[in-house]
Amino acid sequence: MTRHVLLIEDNEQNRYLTTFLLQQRGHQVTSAVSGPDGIELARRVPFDLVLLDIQLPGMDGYAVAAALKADARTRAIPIVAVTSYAMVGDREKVLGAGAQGYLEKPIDPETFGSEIERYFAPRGAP
Amino acid sequence: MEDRGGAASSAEGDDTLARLQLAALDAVANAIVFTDARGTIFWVNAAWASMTGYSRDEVIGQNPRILKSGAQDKAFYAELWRTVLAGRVWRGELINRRKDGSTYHEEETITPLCDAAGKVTHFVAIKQDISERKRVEQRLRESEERALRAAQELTVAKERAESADKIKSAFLATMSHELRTPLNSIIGFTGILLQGMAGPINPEQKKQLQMVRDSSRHLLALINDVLDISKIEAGQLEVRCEPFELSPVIERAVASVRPRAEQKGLALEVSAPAGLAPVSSDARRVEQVLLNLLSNAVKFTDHGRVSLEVAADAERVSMTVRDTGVGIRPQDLAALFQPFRQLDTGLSRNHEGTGLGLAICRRLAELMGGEVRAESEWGGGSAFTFVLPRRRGAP
Ligand SMILES: Nc1ncnc2c1ncn2[C@@H]1O[C@H](COP(=O)(O)OP(=O)(O)OP(=O)(O)O)[C@@H](O)[C@H]1O
Ligand SMILES: [Mg+2]
Repeated sequence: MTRHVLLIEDNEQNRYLTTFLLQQRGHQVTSAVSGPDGIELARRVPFDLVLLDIQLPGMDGYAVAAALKADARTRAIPIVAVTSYAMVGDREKVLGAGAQGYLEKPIDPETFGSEIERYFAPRGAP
Repeated sequence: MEDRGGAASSAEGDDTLARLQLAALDAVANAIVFTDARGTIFWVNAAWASMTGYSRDEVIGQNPRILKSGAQDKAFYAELWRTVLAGRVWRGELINRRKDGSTYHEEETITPLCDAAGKVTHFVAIKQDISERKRVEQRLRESEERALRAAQELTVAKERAESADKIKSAFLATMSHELRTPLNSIIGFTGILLQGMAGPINPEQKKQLQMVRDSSRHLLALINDVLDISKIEAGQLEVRCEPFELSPVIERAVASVRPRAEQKGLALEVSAPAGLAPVSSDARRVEQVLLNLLSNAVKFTDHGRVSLEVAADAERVSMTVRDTGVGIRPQDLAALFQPFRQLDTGLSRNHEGTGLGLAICRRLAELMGGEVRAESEWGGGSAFTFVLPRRRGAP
């Protein structure tokens, strides 16, 4: 079933890669290159999921997640954070900021799609 | 007046008593001086003479101001005189100068003597040299100040170290991100192409793409090793404590080295007890340690076999990777776990690697509350044992 994913990622190649993998599985992808752009989009479009890069220049992924969770219009959208840190407490920090899922780069193209799909809310749910 | 016996002997008795009192005053350890109302000295005791360095003859008729060191100001002396001229006792500390010029601290009590009309007629000053006490106090103050300074320096050093740690971990985070970001797309796109997700590829393209993939995975492994050892050294490595099944972890590690073992014609065997109970630790790190030990065994063995033996008791699981490879010289066993240390195996070809594997293994095992031990015989193969507690102990 087609879902609409918002991808917030600043690196062009990685944006293409993720978009390609999700489109292969039949999903629609809209991307934003910065946190504020992503938040702005999320307020206007009913996305099924936000795929959020944590290491964004300017407003970082933690702040983006917090902003999305603080806004009634975007609060219900599940967030999956993608990070390349893997430092002490990162996972806890990401989940604490309101993300439902956490993936580490580099992603595995074979399993990426199915991992993301686990976080879609069941269709028909509020 | 006290009753001193018969009235007849009274005058003689008074005289004797006065002589005795003077002798007693002369013998006490405190320095005593008698002056008239203007301060002119008419009697000092022996202690006073030895304290000031002036003989009795030198000072009779003098004023005690000959002892002034100048360390205390006019107002200080004015206050002293105001007190005693008002008929009140003065107590305080004076910094005076001896005849030889050296200064000393004295503690002094000046008692004015008044006539019937209440007019001051004489002064009695009793004093004691407190220079030694002052020196001790001064030393105490100095060492307190030193301790305080040391504590402040320590705080500054600690803050500096903490900010250095912060810089270090921020640097590691940036490095980790900057290195993985391009690798993420290299590995990702190679995978996409190899799977034919972007269209069919011919066998030669497939072969070359596999090489790209293997090289980039290798590069990723190296980056991970360098970041891991840096993180370990910066105290930044995260070790989880979650229950998991050991068997799939073991299987994954063995499966990763199987292709290479087969290529080299080595037998690869696993023996583990059936029904291994779950452990609480970090599955990913356990797999990393096993994989390192297994790939070393395969790397440094040209003939024979590599085996993994798993044994478990209530407290811990021990996993021994045994090989029939080149072995390790006894003198090299100690250096084995140091970072960047690759031993001279005596073989003509160079083995690839950075020499970080075992250093990381040992530190990871320790972070999980366990250890890695090595036994080897030069030319007779090696055995590396990874001991893992069933529940991770305090890190
Ligand atoms: N099973 C073994 N048999 C013989 N020598 C070994 C074995 N395992 C390790 N060594 C020796 O110890 C050295 C250090 O091992 P370590 O795993 O730390 O580094 P490496 O394998 O050379 O590189 P890396 O693991 O970082 O790719 C090796 O270079 C090798 O000389
Ligand atoms: Mg190694």
